[in-house]
Amino acid sequence: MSVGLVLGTKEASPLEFWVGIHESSSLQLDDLVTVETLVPESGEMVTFYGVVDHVAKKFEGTQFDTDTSLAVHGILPVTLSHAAHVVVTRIEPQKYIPPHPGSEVFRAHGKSAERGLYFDRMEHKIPVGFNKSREPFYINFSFLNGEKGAHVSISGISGIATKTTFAMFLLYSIFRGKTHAKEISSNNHAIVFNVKGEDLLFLDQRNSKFEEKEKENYELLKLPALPFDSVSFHAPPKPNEELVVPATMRRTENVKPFFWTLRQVARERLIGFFFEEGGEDLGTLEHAISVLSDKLLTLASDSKGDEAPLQSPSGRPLTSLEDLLTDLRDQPESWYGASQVASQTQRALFRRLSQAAQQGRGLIRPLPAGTKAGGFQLDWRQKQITVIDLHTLQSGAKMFVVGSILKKILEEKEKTGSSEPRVFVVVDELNKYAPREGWSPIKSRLLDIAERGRSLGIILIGAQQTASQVEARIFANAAIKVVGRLDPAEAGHPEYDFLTSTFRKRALMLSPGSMIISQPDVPTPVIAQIPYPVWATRPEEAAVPEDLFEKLFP
Amino acid sequence: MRLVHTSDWHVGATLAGKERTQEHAVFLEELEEIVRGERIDAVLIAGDIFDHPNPGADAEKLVFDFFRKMAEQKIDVVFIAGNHDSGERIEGKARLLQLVQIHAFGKPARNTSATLLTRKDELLIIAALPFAGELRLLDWDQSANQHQGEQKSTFAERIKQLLSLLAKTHFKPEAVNILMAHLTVDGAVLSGSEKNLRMSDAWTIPSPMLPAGGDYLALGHIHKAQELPDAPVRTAYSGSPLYIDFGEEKDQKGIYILDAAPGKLLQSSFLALSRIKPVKTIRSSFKEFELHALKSKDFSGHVKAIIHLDEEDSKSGVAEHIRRLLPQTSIVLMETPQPQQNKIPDLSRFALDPVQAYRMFLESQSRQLTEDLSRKLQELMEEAGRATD
Repeated sequence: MSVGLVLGTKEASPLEFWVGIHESSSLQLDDLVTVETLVPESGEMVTFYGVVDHVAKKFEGTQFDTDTSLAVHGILPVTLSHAAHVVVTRIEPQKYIPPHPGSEVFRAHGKSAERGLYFDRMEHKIPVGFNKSREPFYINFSFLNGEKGAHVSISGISGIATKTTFAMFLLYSIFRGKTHAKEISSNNHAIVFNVKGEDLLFLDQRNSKFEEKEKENYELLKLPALPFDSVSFHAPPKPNEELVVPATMRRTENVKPFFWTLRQVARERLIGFFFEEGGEDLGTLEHAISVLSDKLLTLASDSKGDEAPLQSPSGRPLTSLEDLLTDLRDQPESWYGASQVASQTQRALFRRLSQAAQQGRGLIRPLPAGTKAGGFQLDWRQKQITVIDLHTLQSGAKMFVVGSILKKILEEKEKTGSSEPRVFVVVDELNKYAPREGWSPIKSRLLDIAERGRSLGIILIGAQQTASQVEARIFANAAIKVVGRLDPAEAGHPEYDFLTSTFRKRALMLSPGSMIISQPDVPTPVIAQIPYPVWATRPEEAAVPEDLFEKLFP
Repeated sequence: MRLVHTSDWHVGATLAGKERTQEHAVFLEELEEIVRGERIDAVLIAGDIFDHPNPGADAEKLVFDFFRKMAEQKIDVVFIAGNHDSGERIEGKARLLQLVQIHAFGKPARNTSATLLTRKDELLIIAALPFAGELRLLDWDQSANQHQGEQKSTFAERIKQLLSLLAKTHFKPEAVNILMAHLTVDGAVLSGSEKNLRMSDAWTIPSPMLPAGGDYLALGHIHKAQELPDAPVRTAYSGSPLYIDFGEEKDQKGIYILDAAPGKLLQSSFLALSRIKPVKTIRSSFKEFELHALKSKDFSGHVKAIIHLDEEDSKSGVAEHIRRLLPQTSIVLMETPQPQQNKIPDLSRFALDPVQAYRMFLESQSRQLTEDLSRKLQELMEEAGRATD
C-alpha cells in the first residue's frame, strides 16, 4: 500500500523530492520512505531511500485567510494538498537520477528501513534507541571504537537533555548487546566521572520505577533488561577521618575510597594538576611548577617503598600537602636552589598550592598502617565500568583527579602501543575541562585523546551544555554527535551546523529521552528515543531487595 | 492527632548502686498527667524501656501499671526493643499486650508496624525497627575480609535498606506515617560533650541515608534530646526522661509532643519534665568542698563529688565526711596526685582494633606489647569468636 506519489509540481532531484500523500494516508516527520524508478537506458530499477523532514497541508484554490471558513462550510470548493518533503539518504544502485514524478512512495519497514539508514552496511551495530515507528536505531561501532572514527559528543540542556542517560545507555548497549560479537564486550572498558550528586552510584541496582512493559523495548533492541553487572565505584576519602571511608552519603557499601600518597604524586609528576584552576596563562608560575615537579621526582627516586614518607631535601619526612607546604615555606632554597625562580613567584606558587591543599584535603594522604598503595588506586581493567565520584570535591580538586587519571591512562596506553583493551572515558561538563579559550594540562591531554585516541584505544564520550564553549578541535573530532534539547541561543552557533535547519528547530523542542544523532554513515541526522533505563539513575530509584528482612532475621 | 514521642526510660537502672524506681514512678506519674492533659492519642516509646534484659519485679510492675492506665483510657502505646531490652522477652508478651492496644515489637521483621485509628478517626501508621546490631546485619563470612571502613559502610547500607523497606511496605498516603527506630545517626550529639559522633567511631548511619518518605522519624538510643536538622524527614531523639548518667548534667530532659493530621505538616514541640531529679558533678579540693556543699544544700538531685586530695590528706573517712556535708552525694571519687604514667588513656578510639588498644594500655602502664602477649591475645580473641558462633 503506497502512502503517496512523487510530486511533479515541485522539482524532484536525486537529493530530495516531494510526496503528495494520499487522502487516506499520512506521513510523520522522521518516517522512512522508499521509491522505485526505472532507469530508461538500462532498464534496471533504482531504489531511493529517504527521510521525511517536512510535512504540511494546504488548501489549494484559495487566496484569502477567510476562505478557510468558507471552505469548511462548503461554500467555497477547495482541495487539500497534503505533501511531505523527503531527503534522500540512499540510492541503490548508486545512479544519481531523480525519482520519476508520479511514482508510488512506500513506507520503509524492516529490512528496507535498515537499508535506508545503512544499518545493513554496519559490521557491528550498537542499538541506541528507536525511531518513531519503533524500529531499532543503530550506531556503527566502527565509528565509535576507533576503526574508522571515534569519539562522541553529546550536547544539551542539563536536566532535560538526558546526556548522561544517553552516554550510559550507549555503554550498556556496547557491553550488553547481543547484536555483536562477544569480543566487543570483553575488550572494552569505561571510566565514568560522576560530577553531579550521587546519581551514577546506583548503576548496579535495578530501577524501581522501571515498569514491566518497558521490557519489550529492550527485547526489540535485543538487549537484556538488567542493571550493569560489572561496575566498581570509587570516591575520595572523607576528609578529617582517621579511618579511610569514602566521602559519599547516599551509598557507602562497595564504594572504594581512592587517594594518592605524596610519594605517588611526586613520582608520577602530578603536582602540576593542582594549578589547573582559573584557566588563565600561568606565566612564570609554569617554570616554578616545573622546578618543583622535578625536585619532587628526584626525592621520590630514593627506592623506598610506597609506605615510606617522602624525604624533604632537608631530611624532614613529608606525607601530606600540608607537610610539603610547611617545608616550602621554611626551606625554599632547598627546593628552588639554583633555578632562579623569583621569590615573588615562589610566594605565588605557595599561595596557589595552599588553596589547592584546602580543597584536596584527604586526597593526598599517607597509607593507613598495614595497607598497600594498590588498594587505593584506580584500575580500570578490573571491571567493565569504573565510576569515579567527584561531586564532593571542589573544582580545583576535581581538576586534579581528572588530570591525574587522564595522564595515567595516556601513559599506560602509550606504553603498550596497542589499542586494545579499549577504554571509553565519559567526561561531563567538558566546557570546563577543555574550554575554548586558554590552555591547561588537562585540556592538552583531552585534545591529545581527541586527536590521537583512536590509535591508542582511548575513546572520549564528552558531554556539555554548550558545545560553543568547548575547544573546537575536540568537538570536531567526534565522529558521533548527539544533541538533546538545546537552548535557542546555543542552537544558533556554527558548531551545530551539522544539524539542518529543521533539526535545529526540533532540537529546541526535544523531550527527555529523545536525541538527535548524527553519524558519518547516515547523510541526515535522525531522531531516536532511548528506552527507559533499567538501572537506577538516582538514589531514590535504587530498588531494595524485597526479602531482606527474611534473609537477615530468619 | 496528638502523640508523645519518648524513649530510653531505663526503668530498673541504678545510680551508684541505689535503685531509682521511685524516680521512675514520679516520671510515669507526670507522663500520665501529660497524656491526659494534652489529650494524647498514642504514646511512642523508641526503645530501652528497661535498663536490663531481665528487669526486676519492681521495674516491671511500674511499666505495666503505666500500660494498664493507658489501656484503661483507650490510649495506644507503641514500643520497640532497644539494645538494653530483651527483644525476645518483649516478643513473648507482644500478643497478649496487643489485646489492650499495647503494640510491642521485639525483633525486626517485615511486619513490625501498627495501624491505628485515633478518636477523630484519623489513620496513624507506625513502622518500627527494633534494635538490630552489627552482629545480625553483617554477613561475617564476607566481612571478615573487609576492613573496618567497609564493614561500617555495609552496616549503614543495611539499615537504610531495612528502613526503606518498612516505609515502602507500610506507609499509606491517607495516613500520618511515622517511622520508629533505635539506632545511632551520624552527626548526633552525645550528652556531656559537643563532639558529634562520627562514622569512624561507632556503628552509625549518616543522616542523608535515612529514607525520605513519611512524616516523622522517632528515634531512641541517644540520651540527649535533640532534633536532627540535616535529616530528610522531621527527625528527633526524645532523649532519656531521667538523668541516667552524671554526664547528662547539661541535657534538657523531656518528651516530644507531636501534632499531626494526614496530609498536613507535622508539628513537634519539646515539653520539659518538671519533677525529675537533676544531676550535678562537683569537682573540688577536700578543703573547699564545704563551700560547694553550702551552695548546693538545696539541690534536689544527685551529686557526684570528685575530690582532689593533696599529699597530706588521708583517704579514710573522706567519703563519710563529704556525705555528711552534702547528703545528696551518691558517688565520691577521690583523685590523688599520682604519677601520670599510670593514668589509663582514652582508648575509645581503638574500639575496633583490640590489639592496638591493648598496646596503648600497656604503654600507659610502662609496659610493652611483646610477641608472646600479642600471640596470646590473638588466641583469646579467636577463642571468643568461636564461642559466639
